[in-house]
Amino acid sequence: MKLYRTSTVLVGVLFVLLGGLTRLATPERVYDSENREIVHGTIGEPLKYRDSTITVHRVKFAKAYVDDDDKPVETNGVFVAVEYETVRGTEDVGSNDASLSTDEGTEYRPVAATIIDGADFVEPGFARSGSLVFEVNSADLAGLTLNFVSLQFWTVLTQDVSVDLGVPDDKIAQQLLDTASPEYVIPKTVTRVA
Amino acid sequence: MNPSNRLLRLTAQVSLLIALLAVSAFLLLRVYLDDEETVYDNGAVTEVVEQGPATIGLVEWKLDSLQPYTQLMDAEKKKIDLDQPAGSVVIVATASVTPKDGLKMDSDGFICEAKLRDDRGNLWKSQSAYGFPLPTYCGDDDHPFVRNRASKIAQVYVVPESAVQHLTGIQIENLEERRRILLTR
Amino acid sequence: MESLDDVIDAMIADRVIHRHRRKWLIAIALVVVLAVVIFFTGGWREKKGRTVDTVDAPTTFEAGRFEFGVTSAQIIRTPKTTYDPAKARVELSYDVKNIDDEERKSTTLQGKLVLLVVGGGEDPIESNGATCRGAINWVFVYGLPAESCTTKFDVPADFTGDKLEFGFLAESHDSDIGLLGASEDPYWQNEKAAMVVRVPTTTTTETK
Repeated sequence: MKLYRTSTVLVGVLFVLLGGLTRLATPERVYDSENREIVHGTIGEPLKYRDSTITVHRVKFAKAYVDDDDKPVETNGVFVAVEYETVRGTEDVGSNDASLSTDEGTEYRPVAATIIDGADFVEPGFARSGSLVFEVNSADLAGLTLNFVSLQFWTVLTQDVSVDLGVPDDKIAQQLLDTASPEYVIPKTVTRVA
Repeated sequence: MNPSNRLLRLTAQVSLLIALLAVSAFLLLRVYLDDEETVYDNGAVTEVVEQGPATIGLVEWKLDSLQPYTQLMDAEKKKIDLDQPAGSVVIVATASVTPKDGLKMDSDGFICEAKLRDDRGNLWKSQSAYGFPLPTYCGDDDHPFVRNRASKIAQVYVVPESAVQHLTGIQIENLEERRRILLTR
Repeated sequence: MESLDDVIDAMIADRVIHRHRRKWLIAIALVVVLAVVIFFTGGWREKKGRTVDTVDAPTTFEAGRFEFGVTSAQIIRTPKTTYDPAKARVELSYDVKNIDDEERKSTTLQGKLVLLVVGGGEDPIESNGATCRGAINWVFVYGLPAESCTTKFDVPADFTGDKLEFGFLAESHDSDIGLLGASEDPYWQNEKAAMVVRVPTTTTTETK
């Protein structure tokens, strides 16, 4: 019944401390995203994503979109289509999620895409073009930014890409809304040698 | 409490403490040292074998040839449909695979996939090439596989032209064994 | 000679355990018997009945990060054909609006948040998410007005009813306990029953 012996207590405390240290030392088990590196850029700028690149070529506003030969889908807001191209490097890129954010903190998710709801990468040395369509509240467009958030959990350094889509204030937003095309047709993907 | 008893007990306690500290230190540092799982997860190749034969995942592999082509033809001399952008080349790797005893072979056959590797660390996944004379996967009903007998298969890749001179060989990996072998030509 | 620690240990052991050995054994035996009995009789969860409000359609209410406007429901029967058995499904028509003031994020409506209450001790039937403007799994955008949508429930072919009950669950924006390394950022989870709506239902037969 020597439960309160000093040495026993010390060993117990030591175990707890070492257990805590071991948990902190294994980077795979860090759930919090404290070490996310964010690469910022603008339209037309090739942005580094590990050793691959993502370039957003253009942004289009439309009142409806068409996917394949389906019927056009309409909205009470506006559809924002982002056309991008990726160039695949050597390193593994994993998967990522795409979203749009605004100055007010609102987050929009893709409603349609050429292939996947994120930046699509192909085999090393090849470039791939794709398109993402978001449904957006026309009253909440100021500061529109495109974000690619990587979804890998087994590396310590995760990388995200943030692209300013050139809608700094409501006035510009209104201009883009006024010149929105009636329909956006989702293009087919194109693969080429980089 | 006589002194020898005391000493004995003290020695036991101290050695227990040292043993616990040693185990904890080992567990702590193991993550950074030669941990097989971390090494495998980092994508490192564990063995390089010239042509083979080499066995991994209860399958024996031998690289027969690694050739570039501008396009592939099927048995009827018609072009096989592959996504080949301008400036890219088709690489065909032919290999002899032998499923060994103990390998699970069901109606879907077994997995025999190899990736194409170059000296810059690039990896290309194999593509399906419908109509190619050799089977491109080991679950093809038209080409049944027999245990302990070698069968020829092909793995088809599409790579940029500039990569051809850098190609080193085909890489086969196995998660359970934590091994990646590279068969060079 | 024993140390003082040993003497004290022996005294405590004697006074607490050894002198009352029988009582200890009886107490432990009682607890074990009680546990076994409760285990085999299925616990003592009291039947509380329905704890949420039941209202009639048409109605509009908030549940978590959605606002629902329930309008009507239909039972659609498909008669037996040469290849398929007779089937039936329930289609609920409702308006859905994203009111996520916390995260302001676009999201889909999970099927498990809207249920068809069948009663009779049976489990409720889950919906298949929201189908709006002809597209399934509609993404609801924060800030846009409500969309008119439908959702489907698979029911037995002989299902009937003229006033069906639908249960709506609300998520709450809670944090997890950060004890085992989980992030303490709150997110929408912990869905709980929020409202039951009685909807007048019509029955139609669909012929292919």
